[in-house]
Amino acid sequence: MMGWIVRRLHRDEEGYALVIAMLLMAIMMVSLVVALNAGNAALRESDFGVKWARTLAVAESGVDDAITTLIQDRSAASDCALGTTDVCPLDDAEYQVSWVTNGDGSVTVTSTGAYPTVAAAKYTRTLEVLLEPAPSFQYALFAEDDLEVKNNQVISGSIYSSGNVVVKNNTTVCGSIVSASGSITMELGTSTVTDYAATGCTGEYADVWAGGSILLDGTTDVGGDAKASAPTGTVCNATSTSYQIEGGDVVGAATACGRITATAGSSSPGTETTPPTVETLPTYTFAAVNYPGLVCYGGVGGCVEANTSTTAVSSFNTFKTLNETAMSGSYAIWQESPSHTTLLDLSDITLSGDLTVITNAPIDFGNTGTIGLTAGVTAANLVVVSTYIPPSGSSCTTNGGDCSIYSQNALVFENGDDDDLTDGIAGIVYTPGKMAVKNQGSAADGALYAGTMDIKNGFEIIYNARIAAVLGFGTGLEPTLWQELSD
Amino acid sequence: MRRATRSRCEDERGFTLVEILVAMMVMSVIATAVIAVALRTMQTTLTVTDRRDVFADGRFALDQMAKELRQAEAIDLTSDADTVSGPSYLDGANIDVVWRVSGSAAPFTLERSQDGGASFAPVLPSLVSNDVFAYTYHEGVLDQVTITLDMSTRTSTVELTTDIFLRNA
Repeated sequence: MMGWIVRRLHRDEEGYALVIAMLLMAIMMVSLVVALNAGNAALRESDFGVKWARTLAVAESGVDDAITTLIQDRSAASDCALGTTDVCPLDDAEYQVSWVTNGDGSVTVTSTGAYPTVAAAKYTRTLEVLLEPAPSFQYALFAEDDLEVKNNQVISGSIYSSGNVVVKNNTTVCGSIVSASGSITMELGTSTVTDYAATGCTGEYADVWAGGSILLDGTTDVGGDAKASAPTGTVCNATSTSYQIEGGDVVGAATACGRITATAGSSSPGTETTPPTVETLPTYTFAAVNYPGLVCYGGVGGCVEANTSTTAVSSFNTFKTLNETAMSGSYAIWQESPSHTTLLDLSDITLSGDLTVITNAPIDFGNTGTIGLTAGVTAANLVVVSTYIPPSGSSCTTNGGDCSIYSQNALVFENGDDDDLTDGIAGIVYTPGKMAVKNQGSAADGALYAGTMDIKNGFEIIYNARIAAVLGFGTGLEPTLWQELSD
Repeated sequence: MRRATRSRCEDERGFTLVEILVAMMVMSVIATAVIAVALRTMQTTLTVTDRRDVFADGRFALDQMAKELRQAEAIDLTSDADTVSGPSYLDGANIDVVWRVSGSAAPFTLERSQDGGASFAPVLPSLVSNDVFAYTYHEGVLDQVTITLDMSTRTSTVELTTDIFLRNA
């Protein structure tokens, strides 16, 4: 009986098997489609993420390309500028990059990365990067040789010298003092301080660090740490008068290779420390392309230092006399056989905007008053460069002589609000030669850099980072503003 | 002809009770299996779709945060594990961007403000943790932010993470 039922079912109901098989196959197919779809979606999104990130890297390659090119030649053009059909390939993607030099010498770079090609891009990302010269000026006072500051000066910012530093006669330094390979002498009421309200200086380290001895007298205070280092390999001795810290008060830690007689927060005599790194005066390189609208006084054949003129200085001085109440712009003055008899006159000038003066002649700021701003102008940068090197054996002091840059009573910049470094004039006065300044009454924002420097009598200077990066000093460009633009 | 008709009629006599019961039992087993597979397929579809959507939302939020933090000038020192803020840019214009995680318990919501925190808009509603932002200093400068988004799906928790280096710091 049972065998009969099974045979019958087997014979007459085989159609159900087909239906069930098809039903199961349909369900399996749906399941397969869902799985494939989900997997494909995840793959697509993952692929998008990878290519999206890669496109950004390609765009950044364009910026790097621009920086490399501009460092070699500031006047170079892009090989694959935006808006052209030229492209720069990079693996399986492409980029186009363009740049424009701004009036202040900064460069705006725009770079677009495209994947897989610019012509048939599936992904594009655009970057805009502002490049500025790498900072060259980070000290208020810098001298490659000995440096002396005296007579009631207030220096808001740090001081560097490769040689000996003397700070005396009630001078206040709101910042640090570094002598890479000489001694630092502080005496007669001098001090380094971390804050100085009158000039808005705050938060400085106020350290004193010498690659030699630090000599303080009983009226001298160091507001931070003091460190007297010896050349590497020197055997330190806690009783030695070499590389010592002598006298005075040190608020922080005193560390010396030699003895320490100063009163200090903590004292570590006979301790070896690495001396400061020797820094060199930033090198200036003139390139006319760096100065849009440059006015050049020199010989024929293009504005380069070698094309000089016997009348360059006198021509500029005439121009300056006529326009001294509203000076702005960029000027290059290349004098043939410059000497102390061909002085470039920068006395009595008033700025109506940023002013840059580059010359191979000596500069005299005269015996006049403050360099001010014309009405309505609240801020301007002043860049003064003299590449003049006085003859060997000549003298340059605060009483005058053969100086590269000399100022008697006059190197005063209208600095606006002491607490506001964005207003007023910020000036960088630079020479690889000799600089002498005296009889200063008011504060000047900026920095003084010279091969040798002699300043005295109430000189006040407040370091201002506005002049930290100046075109022509150093070849480096660094991004200061990076942003991605929406496509 | 009549004989043939009669013969077929004789062959198609009714099913017995046993046959019907056996057939119903077999069919119910098959139907149960088919329905179970179908339900499981639907559940899988929902799970996979939800997971895909959560990932897509997370990637969108991560991309937007990455862009704004990458070009930030700085990260405010008040930033912590559930809030990051700083000055940044949007199409060349300055914005004070704030990203924060709101809520007292999971699910937390990731919110964004571009006006310094005056107003927020929700971006991602499915966070299971408010420990999202971590910070790294290099040479004393806060220039790296690590973002970790732990998001809940229907059946599990998924995580997206990225390191962002500030270009303008």
